[in-house]
Amino acid sequence: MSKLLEEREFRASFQKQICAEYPFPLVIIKANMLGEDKRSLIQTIVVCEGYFALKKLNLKNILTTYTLEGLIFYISIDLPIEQLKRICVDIEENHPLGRLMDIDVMTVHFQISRRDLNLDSRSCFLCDEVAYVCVREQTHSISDIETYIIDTFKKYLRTNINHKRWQRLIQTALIGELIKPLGYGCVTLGDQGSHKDMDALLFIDSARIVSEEISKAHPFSENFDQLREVGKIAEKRMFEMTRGVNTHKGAIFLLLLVMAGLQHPDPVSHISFLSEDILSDFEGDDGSHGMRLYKEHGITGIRGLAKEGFSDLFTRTYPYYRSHSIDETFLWLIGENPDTTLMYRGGQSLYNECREKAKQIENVDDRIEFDRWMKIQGLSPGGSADMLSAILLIDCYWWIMEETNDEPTHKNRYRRYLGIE
Amino acid sequence: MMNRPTKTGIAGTLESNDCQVTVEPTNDDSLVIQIESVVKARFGKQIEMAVMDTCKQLELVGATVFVDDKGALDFTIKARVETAVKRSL
Repeated sequence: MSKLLEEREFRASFQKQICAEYPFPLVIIKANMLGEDKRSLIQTIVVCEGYFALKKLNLKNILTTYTLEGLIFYISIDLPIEQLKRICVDIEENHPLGRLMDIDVMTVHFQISRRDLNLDSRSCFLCDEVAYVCVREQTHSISDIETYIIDTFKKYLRTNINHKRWQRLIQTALIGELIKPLGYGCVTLGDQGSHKDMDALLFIDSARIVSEEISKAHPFSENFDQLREVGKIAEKRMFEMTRGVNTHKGAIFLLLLVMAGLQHPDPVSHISFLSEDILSDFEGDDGSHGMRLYKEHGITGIRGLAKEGFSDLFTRTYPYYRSHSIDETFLWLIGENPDTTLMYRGGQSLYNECREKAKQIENVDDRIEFDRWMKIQGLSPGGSADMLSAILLIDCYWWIMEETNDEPTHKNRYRRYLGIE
Repeated sequence: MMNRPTKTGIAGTLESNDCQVTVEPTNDDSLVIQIESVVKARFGKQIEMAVMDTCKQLELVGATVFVDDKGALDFTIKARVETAVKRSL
């Protein structure tokens, strides 16, 4: 039996257990994707959007898993099962990514179907036929289906409403960062890393709020003080949501500036221009890690990088990412990028040891060992994870701004977004 | 060597693009196949053939094989039948 069929069977009994434990209908959100390994950027964003669409309901319990089937949400909701199924069908039909979602509703004894509500079966992505029929007859080629999926995702990001576009781009960047296969101490979709107080769900919830807030700053790309005001509100809302846990503080600062930079022909000089006076921050003291390191060691950290317009990010790291996997890029960042989060937590000598180790990694075993070592040391390269988000923001933004799809890099990009590396 | 179920064997799920297969012992050497499917009108015969082929390969006798299909492809149906049979022996 294939691994995927095995996982599906295992999940069916897991779902029954949840139903037994929580006496409410259970909603399961998956993505309609191809392949034996469904983990990918698009799969993850599709499933998270399904979760966000249900968030206003009376959610009693939320669980996630991350396996070959990709990210899956299991949400117990206090509503009559028929009403719940109608809401889910409406999301599947009307949300911009709804066609890519697969939302099941069940109780311990019964899985409700569209038929039970006298609704039509789902139609195919590509024609008017019932989806079951096209799947069985394999009417459409895999590449046509992939193209449909990638186009749907691109259309979702490209929406004409500016604020929404930036919200979706930033949300994709913040959540997309979590798909890295190993966290090296950071939170991933499948692992809490070195953190006892954070998990994937907290990051996903935080990404939603943070992206909603910082996208409001998109018209202020000329004014650092206005960006900073928006950033402060985003930070406040993040801390309220996480009850004081710092999920995205560094990312807020970084992505606000990258967003402003991307709206200019030369992002590096624009960010550098915006951040001209940033080192004057060090005259005060906001109590942050970065501030402590500056006072004690003269390290300018993320502020120093901003003053240079994040030139390394745009001219070295991003090009590196274009020809390497997300895991390789993350390791490169840990080895190369000054990460004050890491420095603060580990102290100078552990920090240097960590960077040396990251540079020496050659194979899968080394990676797993490094991941283990980082967790034992309690280290977490949060600054590098923020940079990974920035890379995804740059990549997605430039992708949706392209006029045509037929440039040679397009195919690479979409294979990457679909997880076919 | 014939394979004869001694107990009920179940495999698969009732999700879209999957099927649930239940294999049960009978009192004689017969082999009964029952198909329920969301695409029965169009593909009932094909599905039955896929199930029959798999049962023959496994030399299954003395069994009722019930397939509740939710739009699975043949390779999934075959894999689920195979597992259900193994679990019934």
